[in-house]
Amino acid sequence: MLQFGSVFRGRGPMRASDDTSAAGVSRETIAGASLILIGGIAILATWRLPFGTLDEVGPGFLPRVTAVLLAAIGFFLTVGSLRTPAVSLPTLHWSKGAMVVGALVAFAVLARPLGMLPACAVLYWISGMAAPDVRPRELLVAGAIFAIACAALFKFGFGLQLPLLAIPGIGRF
Amino acid sequence: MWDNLLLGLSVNFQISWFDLFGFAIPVPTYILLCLAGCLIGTLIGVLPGLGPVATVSILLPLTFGLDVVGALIMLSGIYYGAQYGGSTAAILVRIPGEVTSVVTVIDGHEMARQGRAGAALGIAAIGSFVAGTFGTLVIVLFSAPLSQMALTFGPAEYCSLILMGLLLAVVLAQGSIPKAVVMIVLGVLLSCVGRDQETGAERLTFGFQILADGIDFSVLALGLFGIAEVMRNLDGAEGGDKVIARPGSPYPTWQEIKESAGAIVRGSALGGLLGVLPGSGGALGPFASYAVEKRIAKDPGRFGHGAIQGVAGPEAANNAGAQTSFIPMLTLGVPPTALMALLVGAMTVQGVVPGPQVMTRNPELFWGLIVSMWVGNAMLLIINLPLIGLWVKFLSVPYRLLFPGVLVVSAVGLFSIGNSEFSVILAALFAVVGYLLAKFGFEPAPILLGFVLGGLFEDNFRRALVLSSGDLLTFVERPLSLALIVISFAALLLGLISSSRRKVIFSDDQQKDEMWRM
Repeated sequence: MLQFGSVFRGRGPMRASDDTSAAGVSRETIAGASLILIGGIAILATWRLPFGTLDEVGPGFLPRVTAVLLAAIGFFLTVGSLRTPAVSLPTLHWSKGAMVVGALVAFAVLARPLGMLPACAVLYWISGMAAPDVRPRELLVAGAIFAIACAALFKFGFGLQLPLLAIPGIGRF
Repeated sequence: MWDNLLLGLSVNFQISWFDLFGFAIPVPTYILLCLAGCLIGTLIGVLPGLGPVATVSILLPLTFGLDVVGALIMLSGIYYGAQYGGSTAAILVRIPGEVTSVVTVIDGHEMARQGRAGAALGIAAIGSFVAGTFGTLVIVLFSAPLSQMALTFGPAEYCSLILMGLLLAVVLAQGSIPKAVVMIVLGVLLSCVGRDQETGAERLTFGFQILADGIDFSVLALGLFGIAEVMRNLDGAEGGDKVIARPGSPYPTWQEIKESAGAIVRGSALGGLLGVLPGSGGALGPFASYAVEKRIAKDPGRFGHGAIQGVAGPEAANNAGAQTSFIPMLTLGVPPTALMALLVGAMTVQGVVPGPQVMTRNPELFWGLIVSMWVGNAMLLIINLPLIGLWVKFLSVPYRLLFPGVLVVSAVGLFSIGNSEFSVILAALFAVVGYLLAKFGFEPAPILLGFVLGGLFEDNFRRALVLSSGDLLTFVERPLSLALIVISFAALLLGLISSSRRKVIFSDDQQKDEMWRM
């Protein structure tokens, strides 16, 4: 007998332990729902694109086909997982990840106005703070050294079009 | 034929006499150029985000001052160096520089995490050398018939080949097959972002002008793999001096080499054959090799957890493909990939027009180049085996200092793509996606394959239909195309049937588990 939900659960890299409670939400449910969402957005976004005919395939063909496929699989995933026992959802320690993302955003924001040196250093420092065994003074020094080395490498080695240091009002180096 | 090889060898080992303070100094210039190319190519190819294409295009100007033979020899050294550098990054920091390194990431990085980074790097180098030798032989012996074969491949055959490739990616899945299919489809969808090549219509750009050229591979790869990996490591970290890879013996043991021998041979053959096909060939080699190794392994459960065959086979396929991908360029003048197009450009700058006449008009160039491929591979082996010790040392830096460095280099590299901060932000977004994917039990590797093949599939699909005036049956009417389709579905079916009977053992939670119950 085909047990639909378990077909999808497979043996993914991080399995939460099964518990024997009633059918319900598991991570596959959320995954499936997200897929339906993504597929839906893609279909809407490509609504106006011509599908084309068989001898002149239009730009809307592949996006829409894949979006429909995605949404369809998402649907089966969601439905299938709802019929199987609920499994505890994975815990997301988002604070560390947020620091990494925040550090990258900081880099993007600072790169042009302030130059490579400050941007690299800030990226290093902010993301370095996410380490559980962080040593602030060590981080400070390491960040400074690394930022200098990296900026120099990319500026002089690769000719990256970004100033090393830009002090507003004074100039760009 | 042997005369030609001797000609090539003599070109490579040519000695120029330099005048130094009145003394004539013999210098094997071309060998040194090859060495320099390999070294620089490797060091730059290692940098996350700089795949072989970017590396070659950056270093191309270095060759302008050289003569034709020297320039091409140095360029091929750079090319192989960059490929190996990409594999190094894939193994050490789980960042694939190019689609061909994606497979190496899977088991290679696992090996690194188990303290066997040196073994992985070593077997990659050895496998690549063996494959390179094989590839060079193939070029020498089979250039003509192989290029004929490549010519019979029309758009319909390509579509079927790509379909086979996409289905192969499913076999890569450690987890459930439908989840892998989802990832491939997602990858194809991502490849649609940007301006459609045929009609110029903008698709899925949501108004962002920067997306008009599509998502850059490096942005996707760095985000989904490199940065997401950092996030995952931080997530699980409990504290203490975490090191990315425990020091072990820096080189592969004889046992490991013996175990990998079969994989290397098979990978070389597969990669060499597929590499001749313009476009998708080079990408498919490593994936095909991985699929084959996993199928014929006695305990396939090792794959994904540091199976050395999962590195040896694909790396061999990678390099063999890199060699044989020269064939269409050398014999037909058709550059099969962007990388080859760069090399064609270099040749043109030097005043040589690549094509069938190169063999007859500039035999020293042609055979010198071919032999230099082998020399380049040998050079790589010589350079990199000692370098492995250096890399492993590099890994013993505490992770808390290492990962911010990886992020900085990645960020700057990403910024240089299109000179835009947007690439960094987009990569960060993909990193979040990659992190969530792992948490929800999906794997990112098939996305990259779907991404790369999606565009190729669409192009060829359209072209095939134009050629057949809208007749869908063309895919099954043409014998080669039909054969490929049949093989793909047969392989998929076989994979599904046998996996439902196989019990798989997890090494981390020590549980017996069934792949799926039918």
